Amino acid sequence: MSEAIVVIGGGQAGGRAVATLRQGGFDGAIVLAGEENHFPYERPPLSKAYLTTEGSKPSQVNPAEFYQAQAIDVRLACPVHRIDTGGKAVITSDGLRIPYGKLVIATGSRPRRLLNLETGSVPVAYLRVVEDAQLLSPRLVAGARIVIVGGGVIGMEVAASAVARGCRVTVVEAEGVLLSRCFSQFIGALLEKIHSDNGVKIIKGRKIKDTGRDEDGGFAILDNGDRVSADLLVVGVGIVPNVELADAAGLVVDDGIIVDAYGRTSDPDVYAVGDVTRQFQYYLGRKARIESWANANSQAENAATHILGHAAARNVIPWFWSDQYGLNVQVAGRIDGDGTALRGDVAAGRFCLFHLRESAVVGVTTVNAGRDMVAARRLIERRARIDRNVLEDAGIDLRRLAAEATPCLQPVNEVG
Amino acid sequence: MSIEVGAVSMQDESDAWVYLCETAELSEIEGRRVVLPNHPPLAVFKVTGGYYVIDDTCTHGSASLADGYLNGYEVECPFHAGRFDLRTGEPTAHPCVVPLTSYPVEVRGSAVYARTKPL
Repeated sequence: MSEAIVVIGGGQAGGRAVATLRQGGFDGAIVLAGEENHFPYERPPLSKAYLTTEGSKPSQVNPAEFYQAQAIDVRLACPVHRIDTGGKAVITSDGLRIPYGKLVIATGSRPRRLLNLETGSVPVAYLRVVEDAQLLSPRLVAGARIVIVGGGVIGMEVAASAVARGCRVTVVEAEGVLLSRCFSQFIGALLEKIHSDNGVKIIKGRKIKDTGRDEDGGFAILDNGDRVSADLLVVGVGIVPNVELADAAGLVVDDGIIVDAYGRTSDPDVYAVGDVTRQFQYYLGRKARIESWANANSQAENAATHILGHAAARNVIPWFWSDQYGLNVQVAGRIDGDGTALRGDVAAGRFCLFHLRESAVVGVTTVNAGRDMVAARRLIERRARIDRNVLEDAGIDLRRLAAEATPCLQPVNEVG
Repeated sequence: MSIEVGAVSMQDESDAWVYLCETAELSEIEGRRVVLPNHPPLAVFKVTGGYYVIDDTCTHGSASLADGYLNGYEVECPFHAGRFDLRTGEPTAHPCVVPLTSYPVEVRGSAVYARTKPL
């Protein structure tokens, strides 16, 4: 193929896509147009080391020399205004027309905003891009009263980082449980307790209606009228996929750009990858918009591989991690089971929680047990049906179990 | 007495052979973390009869690679699943991109030694 491949979006997925194209042997023109003024960098550290370690710089998806060495034309701070699918070109905000043979949309997501609080008496911060982290970090001083709005993964990681900086942290979560999107109840409760033990005040089932200020400083006003002292609100209430370009171009969009197993949109010359997509997930049994670093990588690699005409798509088990207070928590597969098996030592803070559906392993959460994740993934791949007592027996090598497990190929009671 | 030499990295004349552990303390399933005074922690691995020693602390996060998943000549970091080649210290899978040191190794009798800066 001699026509250019254009990638819109210079984040994790965009960075991996261009790298995979070159590594896969594509020697035609590649253009990467990103609205951020940075080469592709990794977002996970922004809520972790970036906030706790002074002088942090964003870690690069590809080495600095890579783009020039591989003749990848990178346009930074270059938002795309429109996609012309008929004429097969993208038009940038500067009016530049960039023709494509294949297009990859990797526009990611943006934080959901609480506009009513942004005009209040207490400053509001979000955390998505490196500039957000650069603004946030200096405000996490010892004694600062930080109110985290939203008890999800980002909020709780920022809470842990703020505690490490000596801040006084309160978390306000609208639901009755923390971390319910990503973690099972058992894990959510465990993490909540650890946050509590570290001095974080947790308020559940409440929203912040407004903010105010008096002679003692700023405060947030909850929907029950209670006040919480606040020098800064850090909002983490989810992300919204940047589907606008795709939508305007007539591609099928439904809470994310709809893509098939190969990453193709409703236009066969246009792919979409990363946070912006919604795709059927074999291992979840449903369509999902997956907001993880691993998904950005695997979808980007998959789409690039398909563009190059190489191997077919492979089903990937959704997987992500969260680091809080030196605890490494990882989740693979689905957490909505009808049973669980617990292997390891919860008190020692090192265990695996297997999520079962009709006795088959469909997911696993590990806490400080990353080594077991590889074997656990194999169990998920095979939908292994293993006696709970055996799974829970630390004397039996998990890898041997995984190697010997008979694949149970019939999907277990799935909904399409 | 058998002597097996691992990867040769850039070392200078003042480096010394340092005792790490007994071969009997190593299995082919997992690494062993060895902490020496005044030295970053090391991870010792036994792989199909060969021995490898690398920096224990992952260059991407703070995980102990001795706690990682061993597969052939690669160790997978237990935190974020990046990988390193034990023989060279080179990262072989994201998100690990910064190489770590793979130390020359010698087995003297029943003991594993690595060559590094004197303590």
